Amino acid sequence: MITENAQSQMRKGVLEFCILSLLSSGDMYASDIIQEMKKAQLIVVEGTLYPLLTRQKNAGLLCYRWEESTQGPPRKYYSLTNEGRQYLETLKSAWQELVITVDQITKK
Amino acid sequence: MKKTVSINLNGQVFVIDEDAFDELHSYLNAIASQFANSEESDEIISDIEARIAELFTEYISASKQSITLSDVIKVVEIMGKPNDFSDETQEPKNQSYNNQSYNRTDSRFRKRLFRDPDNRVIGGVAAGIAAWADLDPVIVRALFVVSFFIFGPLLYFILWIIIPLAKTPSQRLEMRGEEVNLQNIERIIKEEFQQVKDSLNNLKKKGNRRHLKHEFSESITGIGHIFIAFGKIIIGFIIAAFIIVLMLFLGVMTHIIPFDFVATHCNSTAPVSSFLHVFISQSSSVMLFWGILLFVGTIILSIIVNLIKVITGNYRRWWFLNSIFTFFTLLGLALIIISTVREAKHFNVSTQIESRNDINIQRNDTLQIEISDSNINNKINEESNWSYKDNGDFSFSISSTKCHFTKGDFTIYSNPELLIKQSKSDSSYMIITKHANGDSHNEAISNCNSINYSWEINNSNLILAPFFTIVKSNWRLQKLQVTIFIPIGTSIKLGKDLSKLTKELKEDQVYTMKNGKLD
Repeated sequence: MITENAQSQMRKGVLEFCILSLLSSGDMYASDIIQEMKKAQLIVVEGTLYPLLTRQKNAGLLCYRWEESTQGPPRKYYSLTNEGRQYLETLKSAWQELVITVDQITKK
Repeated sequence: MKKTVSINLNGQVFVIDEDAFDELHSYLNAIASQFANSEESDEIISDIEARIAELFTEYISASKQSITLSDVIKVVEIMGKPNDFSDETQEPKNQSYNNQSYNRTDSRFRKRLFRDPDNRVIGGVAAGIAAWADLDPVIVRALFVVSFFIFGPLLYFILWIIIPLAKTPSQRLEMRGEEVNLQNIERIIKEEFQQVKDSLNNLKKKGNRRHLKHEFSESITGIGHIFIAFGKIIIGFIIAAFIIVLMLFLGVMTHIIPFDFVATHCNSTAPVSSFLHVFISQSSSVMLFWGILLFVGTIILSIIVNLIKVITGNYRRWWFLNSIFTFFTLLGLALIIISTVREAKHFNVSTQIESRNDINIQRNDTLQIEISDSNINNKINEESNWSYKDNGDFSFSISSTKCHFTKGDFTIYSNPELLIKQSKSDSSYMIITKHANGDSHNEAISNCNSINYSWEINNSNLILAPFFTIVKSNWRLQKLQVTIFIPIGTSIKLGKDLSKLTKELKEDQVYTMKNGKLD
């Protein structure tokens, strides 16, 4: 139970970073992001993602446009804003620093 | 068969089962309340709805056009429980909220009676009642078993039909009297998943350790099957018994089954139908019987059903029943009124037949009036108001009128009325007047003629029967008056037991006619 909790806390911490990374390689719509995240086992349930996306969008990191879909109603396609790109870069370097320090500590 | 609702999710229309709708509705409400205090609420929810719509589209095919409860549960599994939606900042707040509503002692919420599918042995009735009354289900089951020989099985069967099954998590919460809120629903769903998971694990274990587990679980299901089969047999037996009694009753009423057969095989049903025959013609008795059966039966049934409806708080499920009840009650009432009016018509016309008989006595003689003393008269006098014999004979009496039944026929006995009047001539005579009613003059006369009365004159002795009888005819207000006319100077003397035929005269006393009066 405790390990599960810690794991989910960790995942939650890096979720934002991962969403931004995924979007840096191209525009995606919510279900695509979910698919990728699920594949990487970063999220278990889809519900986690929606509040995050909305919050990032409101923070100006993301923007979206509506795109017609062949099956069903139009879809929301998310893309990174310039601000988001900058934020992603800072996150990336922070993450690398973190990985290195954590590695150093755990390998001692 | 299930009722469906049509919903609009993100601009798409879905047909969804009612229970699934309840589930989805409470799920979305739960999510909405998670974000209640954030500005992004609407947007997040519409995103989530869009995703659910997408998932639903995958579940629908040409052969499966509506969203079922299991689809919704699947979606909830994919989307996550309401708590998963919250982001870290709001977590502490939610935690405390959770703790509050997990507190089970909070019982402000009205309980409703449902059948409990999770803890059932047969139909979940006992478990449902136990949850409603805060008892251990074992106690309720024990009560049902104890009342086995009285009404237990029938009551169980009726309750089984009428009490709805708690299908959705919110109904299960209502059954337990817990608040229907997101956390509780979530918990119920969690419990259900756990149960499914457990049973799946058990299956796996069973597969692995086949020899150990297999026999054990087999014996449990065996006992369950025996229980169910036993219950079915009992219920079937009770229904069959009811039908047999009803058929016998109807058979006697309609004379399809001879009275003798019933009288010898089941004595207790005989008096009821015979009793009605005294007053009512055959065709009317069938009609009246059905009328009373429908009227009383439907009223009792509707009281029971409505009582249970109030207890369960379920007003939707049996909405059509009350109109059916009203229909049958009115039908029963109509039959009662028609048959009563039909029978009442037989009392329409009143008529009388007189017959005159001369009495040869001298002017100064004394007419001795005696009562005949045949066996039947004694027997009837001895009997109480209601008596019943082992051979199926029975009798009852209403004031001075007595009915005696033997072998399917009945005889009505009643006291005649004795009057003494002054003769206008010098001779003595007796006039016997028979009164009866009928729907026509002819019928009234034939009813008059159904009266049998015996009497005898030997010189100065007049012997009267204490009863007149009506054989094989309905009771139509038949009356018999014996009026004796004697000239002035002639005396009469009443013998033993005659005083009950007349109000004015006493036994063993000589009265002489003097100027229109007896002295």
